[in-house]
Amino acid sequence: MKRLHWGWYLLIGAVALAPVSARMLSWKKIKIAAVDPAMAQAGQTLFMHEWKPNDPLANGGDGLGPVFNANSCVACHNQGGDGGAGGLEHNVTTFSVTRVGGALLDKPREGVIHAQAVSDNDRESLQQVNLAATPAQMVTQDNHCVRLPPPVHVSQRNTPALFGARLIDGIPDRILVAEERKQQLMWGLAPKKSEDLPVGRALRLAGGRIGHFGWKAQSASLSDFVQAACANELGLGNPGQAQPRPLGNPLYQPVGLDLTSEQCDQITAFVASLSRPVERLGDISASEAASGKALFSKTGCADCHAPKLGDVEGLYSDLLLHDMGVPLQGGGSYNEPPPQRPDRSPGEGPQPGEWRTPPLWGVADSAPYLHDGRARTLRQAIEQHGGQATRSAQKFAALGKEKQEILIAFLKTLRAP
Amino acid sequence: MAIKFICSCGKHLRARDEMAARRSMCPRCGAPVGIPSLHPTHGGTRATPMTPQERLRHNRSRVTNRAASTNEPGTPTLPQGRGSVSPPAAKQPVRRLRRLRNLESHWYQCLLYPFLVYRLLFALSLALTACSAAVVFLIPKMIPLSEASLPARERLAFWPSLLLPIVLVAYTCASLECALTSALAGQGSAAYAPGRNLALIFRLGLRWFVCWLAGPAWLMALAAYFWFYSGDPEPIDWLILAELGVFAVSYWLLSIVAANESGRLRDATPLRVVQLLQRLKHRAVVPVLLAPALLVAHGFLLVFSLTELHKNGVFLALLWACWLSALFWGLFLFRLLGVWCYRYPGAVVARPTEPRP
Repeated sequence: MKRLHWGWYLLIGAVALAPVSARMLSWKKIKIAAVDPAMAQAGQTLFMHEWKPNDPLANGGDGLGPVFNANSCVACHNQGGDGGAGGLEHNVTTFSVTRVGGALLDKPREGVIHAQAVSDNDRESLQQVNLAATPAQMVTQDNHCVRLPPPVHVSQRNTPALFGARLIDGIPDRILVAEERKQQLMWGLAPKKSEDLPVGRALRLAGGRIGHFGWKAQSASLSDFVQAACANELGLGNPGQAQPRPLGNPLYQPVGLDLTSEQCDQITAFVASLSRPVERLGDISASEAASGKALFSKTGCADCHAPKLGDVEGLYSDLLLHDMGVPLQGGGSYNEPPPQRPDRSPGEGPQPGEWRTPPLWGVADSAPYLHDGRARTLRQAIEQHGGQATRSAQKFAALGKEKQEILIAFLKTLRAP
Repeated sequence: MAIKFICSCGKHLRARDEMAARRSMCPRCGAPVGIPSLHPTHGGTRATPMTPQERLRHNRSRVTNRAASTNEPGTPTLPQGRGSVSPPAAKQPVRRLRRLRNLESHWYQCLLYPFLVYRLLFALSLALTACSAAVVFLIPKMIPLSEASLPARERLAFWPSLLLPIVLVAYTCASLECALTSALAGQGSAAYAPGRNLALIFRLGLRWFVCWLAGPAWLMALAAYFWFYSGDPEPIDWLILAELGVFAVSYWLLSIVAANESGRLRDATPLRVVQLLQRLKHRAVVPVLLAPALLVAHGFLLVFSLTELHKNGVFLALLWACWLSALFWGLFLFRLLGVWCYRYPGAVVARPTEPRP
């Protein structure tokens, strides 16, 4: 039998390994581009600017409104410094209608009930979403958690902190998918929407991107997140997101875009320039913090609040959607994007009970907690975890008072920069 | 000094001394030829290995002789299952003889082999179904076992429990290899199983493991890493995964055959694998393409069944069907490869005269 030349073996080996090697080399590494200081400076001006109707910075657009939640970015993002989290008073109310007259809608009607309007005629209310609703139904004990029986879901969103957003933006999509796979394998091939096991799922958005930002992971990049916030919170239409129309005036036509692409990039550059949160010991010793961190892992908190994601150390999040159970359900989302940027996910969109694991870095300076700020303390937040986090909440309850305090003391070392 | 001999077609042949008492192929007629031994033979012993036709005749006469002498204990050449052909029972010799079939001459006849070992097939598929379902359901409960705060008794119970899946996997490997070994030995289609021979089971399981480590393990690890960190695979990623799968699975399969054929683990080398491919010629498409395709298809079905099993117990039936199908095709493939390797022997491959498991 003819014996092959050794070169053939090398060739076969090269054929076997060359494609995978080339492909792996092509994987984007985390390249966090440096922020242009001039852009960030200009962005800071826009971030702090108090917008007015027909504002001179609005490039001929209608400026603030017609409906909005605040008149500047910093009005809400201010805890622990500019770009931080917001208080309960700045919560945003969203709604979702799945049925009209008993008929199931193909696509739920979703949007934001804005707190303010330029004109009194455009002021929004729950009655415009559901005629049967009364003002009393919108008010709960703490005026922050609003739920109505189906088919109308009303929910609130607390303002998240923006510190370290550049690092989150730099995490490749494939790392999030790997985290999703890791959790699925770790929990015995459990389905992604398991009711009791902490198996999260990466939200696939249009164009195959994975959601990184937002309570529902609805934005794939920091730029998208900033543009959506400008439009929905301030009513500043921009190339990435149309400004919302008043619920009572759906035919409202904006005169033009309020922000240019460059202005959006400037605000994004400023947000990207915000420092990452830090771990500051404060009143506790390093050993106590280490014990608290060990308890954090032992109780299963770290299953979802992963201390490290990709190359980002100290994030304490997997950025995946997890089902948090019925008590924490909340539907609704921001308004429709412009037609040229369809936001329909190729996969399944976020369910009412699904929330993106919020990064815990800087958590000590971002009260209140949970998506609508219903938990005023870290202890309340842990105890109110349900659904896939029920097991961890139970383990926390079983720790005993002393260990619970150590764990919470560790969380309090995670501070804003 | 070369050994000179003549083929039945009249071709004068020469072979090197180290090929003495081995079998080769005539370059003119392609028929297997026995190379004479250098040493004088005793009366009654064979100087050359048997041709396939001789072996079939020999097997028939051997079983017939055993059946005739009821007092003879009978020593099976392969570990036998319950439906095996030997040792022949004195009470039902005729029934046992009917079960013996000739070595398969066409590929489709190998499809019959899994039916001959149907008891093994069903038992093994049920055991694998139960084991995989149990592992999947127990994993979430096992994870806390790694924590130091749990009682030592529970931690100790964790490690021995791993033995059962290992034995089951080894038994599966041994069962598949019995199909291969019996065919390589030219034994007619019958039920061959490792039985309760634990040493044999672990030896065969170890052979699979070593053959896996000697190449495919690294390719599979690379493929797993690539799949894990590639995000949602694009078509090019699927092609790369398919390519790695083809290389890994076919190499593993062929190295097992090569090691089995020579009886030496050190023959699980690229050289032997390539020689095996050269011998198989166009038939190589089966181990190179069909086997990886079947493995991947069953792998996907298995993962799907196990995932859906968390939601609905009905998927246990699908899981069982998946294992049953995987074992069926596995037995068929190994039997087919064994038959082909027996019928198309290589020029330099030494084959022992007695079949072995």
